[in-house]
Amino acid sequence: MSWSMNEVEALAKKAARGAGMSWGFAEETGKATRCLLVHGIAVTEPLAELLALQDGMRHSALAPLDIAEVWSAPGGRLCPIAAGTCLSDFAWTLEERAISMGAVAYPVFLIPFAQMAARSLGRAVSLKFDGVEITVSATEIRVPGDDGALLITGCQTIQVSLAPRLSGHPLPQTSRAEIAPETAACLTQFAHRTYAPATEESRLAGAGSGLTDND
Amino acid sequence: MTLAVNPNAIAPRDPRVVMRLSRLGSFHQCRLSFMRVLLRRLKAEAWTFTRPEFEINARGVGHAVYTAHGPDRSYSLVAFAHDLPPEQRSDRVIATAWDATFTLYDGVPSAEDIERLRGNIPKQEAGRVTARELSVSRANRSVRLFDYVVETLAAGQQPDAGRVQDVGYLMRTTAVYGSGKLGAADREETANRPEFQAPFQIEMLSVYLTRAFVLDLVEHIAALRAPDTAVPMAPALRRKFGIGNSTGLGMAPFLMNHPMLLNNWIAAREEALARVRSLGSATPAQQALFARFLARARENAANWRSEHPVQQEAVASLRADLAKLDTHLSSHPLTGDMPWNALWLWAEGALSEEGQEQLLSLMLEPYGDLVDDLGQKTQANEAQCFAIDGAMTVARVRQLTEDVFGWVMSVDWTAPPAQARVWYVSEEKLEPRLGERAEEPIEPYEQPLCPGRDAARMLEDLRDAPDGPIAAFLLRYPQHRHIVRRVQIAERYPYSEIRDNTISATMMPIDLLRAKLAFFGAVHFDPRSDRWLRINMFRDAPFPLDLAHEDADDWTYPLTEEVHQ
Repeated sequence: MSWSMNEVEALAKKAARGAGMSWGFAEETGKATRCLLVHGIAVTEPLAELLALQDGMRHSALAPLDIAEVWSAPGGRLCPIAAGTCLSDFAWTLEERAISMGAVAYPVFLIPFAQMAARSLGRAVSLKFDGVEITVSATEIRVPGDDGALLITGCQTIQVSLAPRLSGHPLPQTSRAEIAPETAACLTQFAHRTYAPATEESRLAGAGSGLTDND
Repeated sequence: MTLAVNPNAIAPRDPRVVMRLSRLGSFHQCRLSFMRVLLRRLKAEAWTFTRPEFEINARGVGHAVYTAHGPDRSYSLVAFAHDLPPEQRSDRVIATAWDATFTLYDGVPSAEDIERLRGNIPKQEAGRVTARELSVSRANRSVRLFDYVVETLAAGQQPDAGRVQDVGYLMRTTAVYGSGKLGAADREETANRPEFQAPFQIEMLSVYLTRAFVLDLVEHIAALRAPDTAVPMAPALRRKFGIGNSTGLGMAPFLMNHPMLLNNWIAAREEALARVRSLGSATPAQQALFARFLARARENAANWRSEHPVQQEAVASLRADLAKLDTHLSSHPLTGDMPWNALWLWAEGALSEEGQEQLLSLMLEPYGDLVDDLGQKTQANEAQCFAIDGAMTVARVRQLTEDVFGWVMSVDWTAPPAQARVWYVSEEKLEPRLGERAEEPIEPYEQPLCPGRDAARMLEDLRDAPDGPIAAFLLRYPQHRHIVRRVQIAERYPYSEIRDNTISATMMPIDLLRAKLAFFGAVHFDPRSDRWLRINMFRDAPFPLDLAHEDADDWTYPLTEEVHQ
């Protein structure tokens, strides 16, 4: 089924919140998912897997403890949203030195944050994992020939640095997303956790009863 | 347009004055309202209108297509009319069937498109549309007027003008979805088209064409029922029908979820006020125009009906304010230096918020040349303001938070009334609702719609935080990410934040609805409780086929007898 980008962003945000992220990170997840889908990278299934993998885990177990030589998570693998937000928050440090990360789950989700860094620095940024180099500018994402390699479930090391130039082929943009029914169902299930169960009381009072609506 | 450098230029009002809920809840439509922006464009660009299909039977069942042809593109309202059993009729979002359902199609639909839409549009949320559709909406008949008008016309009579005045519409829309909802085209797909750059132009066009459809529909049903006796509506009376709308909490979070957009709306309106206040003088023609609009606003206030006690009081203040304004002008004509500023400063001390905000709208009326360009500056590219500036210092974020959310420091957040409410989304209809924190188990589902409380929490943690980049603070306190973003947006967009507690025991959600609906251009706000209300849209506006030979922008206040003459 064909989805609008607003729909997928809203679903991704709610699903991330449902899986335990705070609203600020849920918003980042929605925007990151949208950015990747706009560039034709099919990340809804990886998102569903990522949320399942990290379901209920504390943020502190998934985020860099501090901005050390190599960013790593106390819980083993970094959440790409937690690591990605740090990457865009600390973008200016790329002017001084490259950022190295240890193990990251679904590193494809780092790309939108590298792009945010590129935007704030006005420079191209390179992201390398498992021999794949992605370069991004404020408006473009470029990948080597096989963009299937982007959708790996995890990698052991990541290098982020300023790039002298963009390389690889630019990903064309699209305005619609196709989502497999089972993936949509999974994300919807996470999103469902953000909805309060209806009670008769809330049904009447929550939206305001008041005067007749049929006159 | 930009003003020549004026040493007396008045600055826009302080956000601390403007962004209070009670004031936002006192806004009126003005020249910058989205309906007016739309009709001015349709007129200026000489859009034409056709009705290529109208296949509706005597029971009122069938479909119709209304197409608007612009300089570069055409758009079609596809309307489906239904025979709804009265017991199923509800304006609430929990309804599953409606008297009429609509979509705005990007272009002119084929027969296959119509069939595809027939299978989906009548189902609304349970249906699915494509990128060719720009909106999805529905409407219900007014029980007080619809059948009465059909029967009267069928009998060869005209409906009673008083009854028409009291209700003001034949159908109420109960939701108008755009921006990618239900699979429709995203806003980003159309935002670069000149006709859709201003906000909500798709939705306003859809509603404008819906009004034309509904008037055609009653005349058509009357003619089918009584071909020998039925008459069409008299044109002057026809104009008196707007299209109603029933709006509830679904709309309330919008202003909080779109801070940059909110800023741009308010900033445009405040800039318009500042431009008029800064004028050195008013010509006799401008003074006369203002006086005429004041008379029409008084008639508008006299016609404003509401059964809600808070609104009744507000309308009573408005009527008294406008009378006071009339009296004031007779002793203080607009002939001195900076006459509008003098009038405004008087009003700040003499009128209620309802009256002040009405005066603001009236002061813009004589000055289309000076302010109408601002109507095109109300859109926002929100993607621009999403990224957090991690290099900003903790001290700067603290200072900004205290500037924007200074009011939160005087609230006792531990006292139950300060956090009495919870914004949540119900499982049942996936729509925003408002609950009582102490009485319902809904806190775990709280939506981030209480920026004041969240800012207060962040300020506590900021107090002892070492200075350095805010990125480091966020590493330690990731829960404040959402509010850091808002504070940084507010640095650049000073009207982005409401300076009031949106979860307090006394908060009135209808204030949020009114502000948004006033920007749409709605009139006759009629709250039905503290959390839903009815409005009227396009009442007295020329119909599409009349636009070519009528004033497109002189309809938002009723034409008084004096003006008729």
